[in-house]
Amino acid sequence: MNYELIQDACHLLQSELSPETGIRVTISDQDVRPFIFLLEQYDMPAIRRLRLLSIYIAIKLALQRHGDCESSDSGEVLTRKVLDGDYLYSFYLQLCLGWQEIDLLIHLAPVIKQIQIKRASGKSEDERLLKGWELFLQLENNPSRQSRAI
Amino acid sequence: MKIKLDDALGISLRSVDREIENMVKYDKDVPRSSELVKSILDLVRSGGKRVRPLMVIVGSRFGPSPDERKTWRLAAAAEFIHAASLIHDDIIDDSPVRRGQKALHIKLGVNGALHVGNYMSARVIELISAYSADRERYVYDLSSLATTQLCLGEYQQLSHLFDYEVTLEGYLEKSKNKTAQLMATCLKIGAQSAGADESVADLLYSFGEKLGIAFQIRDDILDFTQSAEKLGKPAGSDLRKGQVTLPVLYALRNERLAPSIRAITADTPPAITDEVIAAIQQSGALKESENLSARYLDEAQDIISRLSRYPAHRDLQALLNYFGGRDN
Repeated sequence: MNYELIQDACHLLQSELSPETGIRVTISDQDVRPFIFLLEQYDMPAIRRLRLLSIYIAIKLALQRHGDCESSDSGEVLTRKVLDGDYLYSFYLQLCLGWQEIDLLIHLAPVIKQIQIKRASGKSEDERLLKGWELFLQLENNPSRQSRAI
Repeated sequence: MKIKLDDALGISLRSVDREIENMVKYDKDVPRSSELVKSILDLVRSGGKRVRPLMVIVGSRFGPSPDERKTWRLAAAAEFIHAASLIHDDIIDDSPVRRGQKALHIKLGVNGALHVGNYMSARVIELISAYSADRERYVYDLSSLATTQLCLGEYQQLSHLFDYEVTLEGYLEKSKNKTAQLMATCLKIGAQSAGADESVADLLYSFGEKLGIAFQIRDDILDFTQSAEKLGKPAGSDLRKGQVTLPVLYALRNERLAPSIRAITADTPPAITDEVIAAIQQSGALKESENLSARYLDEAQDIISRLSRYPAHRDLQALLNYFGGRDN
């Protein structure tokens, strides 16, 4: 497990976030392990690997923040969870745009939407996120598959 | 009788609503009979003035080559972003009612409502991705509609509850982030969708920003002046919740009044807060707030003059009259 990569991605994400949000970027190894294994299967520059992991963590954190909101949460706790999730969802978008990961953004848009549809109906299919990334990296590394997929 | 904004602009609100409804009706990933579709359609059909979509369409009238399809999609997207933020605002504020109906989190629970709002934001990203052949345009539209600034406005509000050291600049910055930025963006992306000059699009942005700030100030004044019945909450609710709005900032300049305002905390008995709110209502703070709002509207009026060569400058006038309650 590449702990240094996780740490660097968390630092990168933290440095990009507005301090006004008060969000502390922490994520468990377990939450990113399958994604790191996925990333390791593909050749890419170190900086891109770092950025992709940062984007992934931003989305995971957004899902987590909005995943455990209860009406029983006290006012400020609930407010922070809602706001943090909202901010992180818009932030992953900004990261993709800023780092020229437009194809990734276009690919993930329906995936993240489908996760929200499931969640709105009380189900969880968050695993779609990892599958969505897997397909994106496959298509990116094998354009002939992309033309077939289209 | 006061003319309705959509009539003044010659835009069919019914068509705008249809475009907004189509965003969810034509989503193949959502079953037509689902609670999600029903919730969104109920929300759309519960009314609303559609100010933001109207602003997108007005913006498009400043360009030489309006692409109606694209403009109307952007208009619907702007309303989706706004509506999603209202759903989440109601959760944060624990507001039980929205447009005369039960708020969505009361109907679906916090989790359900939260994800309906998220769906709406995600759907906007998906749709803009789908229609944008022009990559540069796509990046611009999406980053404009991203809600990071809106969230920052909320964070700024949250971190300054009962903070009487807030400056006028801080208040204006929060108001820009929370309210004015999306309005300004609507006019600008509308103009750009029709190929308007960058300088014109920038002027429209500036116009929208000034209008948005004036709107926020007026909203903050109304919190003190409207009856509890009309507001659906007690007058002065913002201060009761710790929000230090413009009338409070001006009232704090009154040396006689300032100590009693500064003494208000989350634990202050309502009767004492009532007295302070009454004192603010009777002070000159509301008039001063109105004056600042009027100054922003005057600046917006100047921008209309600079755009007078475009026939659509009359639409800006209609927007300004609407926001400012001005007659001409």
